[in-house]
Amino acid sequence: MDNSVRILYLEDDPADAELVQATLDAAGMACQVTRVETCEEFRRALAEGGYDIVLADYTLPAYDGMSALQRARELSPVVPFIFVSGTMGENAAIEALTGGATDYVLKHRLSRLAPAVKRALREAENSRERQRAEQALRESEKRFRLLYENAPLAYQSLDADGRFLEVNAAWLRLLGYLREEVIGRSVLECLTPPCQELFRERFPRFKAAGEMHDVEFDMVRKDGTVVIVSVDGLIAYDETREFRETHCILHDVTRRKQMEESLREHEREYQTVLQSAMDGFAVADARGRLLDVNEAYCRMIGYSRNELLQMSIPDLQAVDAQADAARYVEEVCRQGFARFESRFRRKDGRLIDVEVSASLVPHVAERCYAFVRDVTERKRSEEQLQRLRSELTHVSRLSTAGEMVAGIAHEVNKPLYSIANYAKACCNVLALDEPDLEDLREWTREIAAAAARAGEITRRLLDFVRRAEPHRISARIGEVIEEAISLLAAETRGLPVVVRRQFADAETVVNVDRIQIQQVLVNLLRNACEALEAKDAAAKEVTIRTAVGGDSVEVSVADNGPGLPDPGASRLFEPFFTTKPEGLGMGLAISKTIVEAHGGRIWATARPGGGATFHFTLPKA
Amino acid sequence: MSDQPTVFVVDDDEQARKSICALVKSMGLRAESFASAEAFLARYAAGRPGCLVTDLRMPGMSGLDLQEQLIQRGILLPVIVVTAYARTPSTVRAIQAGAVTVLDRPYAEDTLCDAISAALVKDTAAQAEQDRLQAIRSRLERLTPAERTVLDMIVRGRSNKAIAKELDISLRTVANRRREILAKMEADSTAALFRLAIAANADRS
Repeated sequence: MDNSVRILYLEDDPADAELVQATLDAAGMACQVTRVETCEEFRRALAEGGYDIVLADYTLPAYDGMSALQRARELSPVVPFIFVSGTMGENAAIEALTGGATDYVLKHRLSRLAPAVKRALREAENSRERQRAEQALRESEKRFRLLYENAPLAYQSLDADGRFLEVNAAWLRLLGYLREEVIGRSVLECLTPPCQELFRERFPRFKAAGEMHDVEFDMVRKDGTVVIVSVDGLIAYDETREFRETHCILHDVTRRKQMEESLREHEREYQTVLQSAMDGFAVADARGRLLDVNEAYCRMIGYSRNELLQMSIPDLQAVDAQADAARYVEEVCRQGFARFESRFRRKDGRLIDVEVSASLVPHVAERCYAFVRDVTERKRSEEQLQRLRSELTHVSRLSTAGEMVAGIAHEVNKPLYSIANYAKACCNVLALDEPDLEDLREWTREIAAAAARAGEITRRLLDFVRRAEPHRISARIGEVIEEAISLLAAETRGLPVVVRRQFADAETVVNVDRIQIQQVLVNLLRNACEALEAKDAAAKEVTIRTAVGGDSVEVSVADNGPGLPDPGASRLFEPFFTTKPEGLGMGLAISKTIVEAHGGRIWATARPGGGATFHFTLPKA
Repeated sequence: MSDQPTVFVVDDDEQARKSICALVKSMGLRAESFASAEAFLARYAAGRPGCLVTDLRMPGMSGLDLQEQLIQRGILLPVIVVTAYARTPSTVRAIQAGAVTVLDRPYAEDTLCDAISAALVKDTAAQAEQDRLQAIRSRLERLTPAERTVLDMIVRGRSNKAIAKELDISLRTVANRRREILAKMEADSTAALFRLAIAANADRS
């Protein structure tokens, strides 16, 4: 493809064409001249196109220059047109130039031709360039117009007095007006009275600053309802830096404001509820750091809010409750909710029992809400109640035993009473000189019958006792022990110590009366717990071990309490021997009877390092 | 009505009842037995001499309730309450109410026999006292109203002279009436007359 300038030349004289070609060549312009003579040829060439410039003679035998110019303007308006003529008067030149010719060159001054062509080409190029830019501008304006019209954001333009110059469709939708209802009207008519004041204050500042951001106005819709808009605006100036118009974008923030308000309302309610709550409330992160606490929580713990916000839950936990606390945290994380009891140490050092109801905050990572209630008083009264209840049970057990004994005594006494009366009657009669033998016979028979009745009563008693003989079944030793632990836990409403299990083989089967062996285990466990009563919770240790050897299983219950009594260790298993102020001295004696009835053995040893261990054996099944 | 004392036995336990009756019989006494306090009250005729042996605890009316009923009805039969449950409050209540004896079972061999004997002695004595007072009252009833007036004044310690002056009668009339009173009251001295009058009054009050 060559870069030579393609020239269409309307000229009847081929010599002139050669001269033009030579002139341009001489000026260093590569060009390719196509000469046409007739109107017809000229028109065809223009229609085919592909020419960069048209040169034409002004006076032609078959065609006239002005018609050619006109035709060229019609068919190729952007292609420059230069007259090259031998003679051309002033008037003709003016006519040509006003008719759209780019330039004219006289044949006897052909030296002007090359610069004229160059300039014409440059101008044509510039013109095309301008046309492209104008086209692009038109298109972008069109696009902008569409965007502006269809944009979801409301747009308004105001004049210097605050009257609407333009609004877009979104604006009209937002405020419910038709375009013709607002254009030319003052924006004040669309503002609530307080915002009219605001506008009067802000508009001059806006015009001075040239821009405005996030200013909120309450606007009144056509139907009278109010929408809250946040306005961003720019001022457009003319060339002389004079105010022309405002360009403002209106964001409808009504819903957002309502939500913010409702959030604030919630926040206020939340604060009111929490601060006035009787229960303590705390928000903590996954590491237990306190993020928020209420008044009641501060009162309960004795620290100020500011102090607490520097602390973590573990800082507040009593030593003995820390291990459990970790477990509860794990539980909250696992199931999203947990309710448990714990113990806190107040700033003043006092320990308080608390009931905690904690839950993970949904959708907020690693955030936990906890309601905390001080249950120290309740625990104390519960403990007292429990103590009273167990005392009562103790007393009622005694009185039940007393009543049973009285009942038995009464039953046996009745025939004895008869026997005594008859015997005395016999004696009385025998003292007579002539005793009535018939009476004597009858009364001695009655004595015998009464004695038989007494015998019957004692026999029935024995039957009753015999029915309590062990009822043995096969059972796994581990299960028997676990049941006994739960029994004790149920009785004491939760074990006061942690019982450690060290089972050699929990699956070992023994042939036992479960209830009786559990009674033994409960006795030993209860003794162990009571022995540890004086110790700190963290220092309490109770361990149940099983060991399998030969044909028996050995179960041992060890504690780290004060150890075996001294003296008295040898009398531990004797009935009515006790070291407890309120003990009956029956627990170990009964245990011994039970274990021996099962063919086992029971004994106690001092535990190395302090404490006592009770052992018993049971034969394997 | 028989004059021979009877031991009334009240006990809900048949065996016990029969054994007590045997004991009573062996003492040469008559026994009548009842299975309940109610049955005894229904059949006992006031004034029959003897004593009552009752169990403390019985279905229905208890031994103590029975004793109270007797007191309310003016029956002075001595009561022996036998109990297998020696309860201090009930014992105190029984004694305050005037029972002769509260016996705790089991008791020593002779206890019940002795208690029955003692009760009968007391009843006999009481009966004799009742008889004596009855006699005194019937003698008093033989006095004329004028003689009763003089007797009252004698008992209040007035001299014959004072009585004559107060009643505006002659001293000899007073002396005659006094003689008549002593004769009707079968008293051999003024002192004896005093005792009779006081006994009769005490019984009436």
